[in-house]
This record gives sequence, structure tokens and C-alpha cells, in this order.
Amino acid sequence: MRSLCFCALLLTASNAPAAPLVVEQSRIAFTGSQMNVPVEGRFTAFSGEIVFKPEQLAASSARLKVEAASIDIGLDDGNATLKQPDWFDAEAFPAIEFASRSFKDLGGGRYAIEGELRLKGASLPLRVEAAIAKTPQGLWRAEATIPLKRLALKLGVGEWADTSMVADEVVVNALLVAKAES
Amino acid sequence: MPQAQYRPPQIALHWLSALLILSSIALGLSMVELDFSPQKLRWYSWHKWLGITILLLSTLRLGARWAWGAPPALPMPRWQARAATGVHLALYVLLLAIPLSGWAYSSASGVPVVYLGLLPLPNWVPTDKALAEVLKLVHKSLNYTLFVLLAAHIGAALKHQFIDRDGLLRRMWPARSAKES
Repeated sequence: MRSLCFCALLLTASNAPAAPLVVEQSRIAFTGSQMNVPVEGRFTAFSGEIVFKPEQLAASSARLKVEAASIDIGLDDGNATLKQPDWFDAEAFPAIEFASRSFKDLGGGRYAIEGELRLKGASLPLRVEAAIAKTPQGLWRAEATIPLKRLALKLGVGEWADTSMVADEVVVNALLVAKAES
Repeated sequence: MPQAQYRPPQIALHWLSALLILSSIALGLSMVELDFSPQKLRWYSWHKWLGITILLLSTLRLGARWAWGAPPALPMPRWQARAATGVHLALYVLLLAIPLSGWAYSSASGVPVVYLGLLPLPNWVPTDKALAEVLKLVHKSLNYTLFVLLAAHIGAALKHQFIDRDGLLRRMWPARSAKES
């Protein structure tokens, strides 16, 4: 499996160099709400690669793989619950993946990225608007705020489905930093 | 002639507080036994709302006590009068300290208190797991102290009512006594 992924990565790399994420500078965080109490969390383990060519958007791509079990809301009980089948079912579905299909320039450094989100065995189209800019260190820095509805993603089903307890809206804040091709 | 009873607002606040305190204790003892679930989170929220309400009421009660004082003490042995004063003072302190320690514990755990689900209260201690553990212990210990003092407080009131039969409870009873009118 691992070698297969590696081959795929090499294949991508052959025509456009895919830059792995600079994980230490990237962040995948989210904010939900429980009885109007803000709940902030993040995923601590993820990887991905980005090819970004502003002059040639058709050749741009982004892939992201997040380890569901790395979810952290700062509360042990909460983390354990979020890994259970009602939520991420992290044992059965260890990875949450996003793969882009297209990039569109919205102007002003903003881009619309359409792609596929794979989560809990389902594949859903997802459109993300991101601000992408080059840092002084020559890295690509993409920042996106992604409003999601957790129930549409089957997150928090069963006894957790009540949205007066846990709001349907979850906002994901992603900051992805990748090396720019030279 | 000095009045024999606490003022009506003081009496109302006392009994309202008593109801909320007992509810909050019952909720607190039950909620910690539950598995992590929506029910548990709901009870935690209610417990926090009760606690903040008790904090507000206790502040009001201290203000009322400062402004209006208390009716004169009934004749009783000196040690009893002293014990009563001591217990009342400790109860006031605990009724401020317990909600504050609970609020701080919640803050330290990284869970802000949103009063009645409407009003976000400030986190006044940093989010810190080790600190949260300490504050949990503080909150618990203060509560066990409260149980002992409440037992003494209620026990003494019952003793005055049914053994001494000195009518002390009338000072805090909602209805005006027939004798007084």
C-alpha cells in the first residue's frame, strides 16, 4: 500500500513537482459549538502535497490526508468520543482525504478549489476558497476557512445528532504551507 | 423595636439559594458518574449555569446582609452563638468560592462557561491540564466542606425548631408569624 502511494507520488512528480506540505507550519483546526460553548480543536497528524502554478492552474493540484485519530479538542473524554463510530469512526476509517480536481482564480490572490472529500467511506464534492500567497521564504501559503455541516458528513450521528446539543455548523480553518517549485 | 425577621428580599434569596444549591449539588454528583454523552454535557452546562446563578445570588445576599444586617440573636449559649456566626461566615465564603473554583476549573480545562447558553463569561485562568486537575480537587474539597457546614446549619435550625422550640426559624421563614403581628 505504502509503495503504491509512493509510486503515485512519483508519477505526479514526473510532470509537475509535487511539494510535500511543510507540516510544522501548517495547521488544520476547527471550531464547533456545544450548547453555544465554542469547541476548538485540531488534527495533529496530516500530510499532503501541493502543486501550485498560478500561471497554469490546470496543472495545479492539492492532496491532503488527515489522520482521523489525531483529532484533539483538548479533552481526553471528548477526543475518545470523537474517534468512536458515531463520529469519525477512526478505526474503520483512519484517513480523511481531500483531492483537488480543479483550481479557479477568483482574483485578489483567492482561488476556488473544487475536489473530493473522502470521509467515513463516503466521497463528497467539496469547494474550498483559499487565499494563496508566496511567503518571503518562497513557500506557498494557502489559508482557507471552510464552513461545513457535520450531519451531512455523518459526523455525530445517533445520540449526538441533536443540533441543540452540538451545532450542525463546524468551521474548519486550514493553513497549508508547501515548498514552491523552483 | 428591632425587627424579628430578616427582610423579605433576604428571606426570598435565602430559600431560592437553598433550592439552587441543593439542585446544583445533586446535578454535580450525578453528572460526574455519567459516561461522556450529550446528557452529561447538558448536565455540566446546567450545573455551571446554576453555579453562576448561585454566585450572583450570594453576592446580592452579602450586599443585603451588609446593608440590612441580621435580626438580633436569640438567647443561647455563647459557644452556640459563636458557632452560628462562624458557620454563617464560612457558608458565605464557600458560596462565593465554590462557583468561582468551578468556573476556574472549566476555564483551565479549556471549556469557557457560557451563562444560560447566551452570555460567554471570560476565561480567567489559563488553559492548563495540570492546573485543571488542581482546581478540580479544590472544587471538590470545598464542596465536601460545604456538605459538613450545611449539615451543621440545617441540623442547628432543626434543633432550634424541634428541641429548643425557641422560634429561631421564624427569622428566616417566609410567612410572618401570628405572634408577631
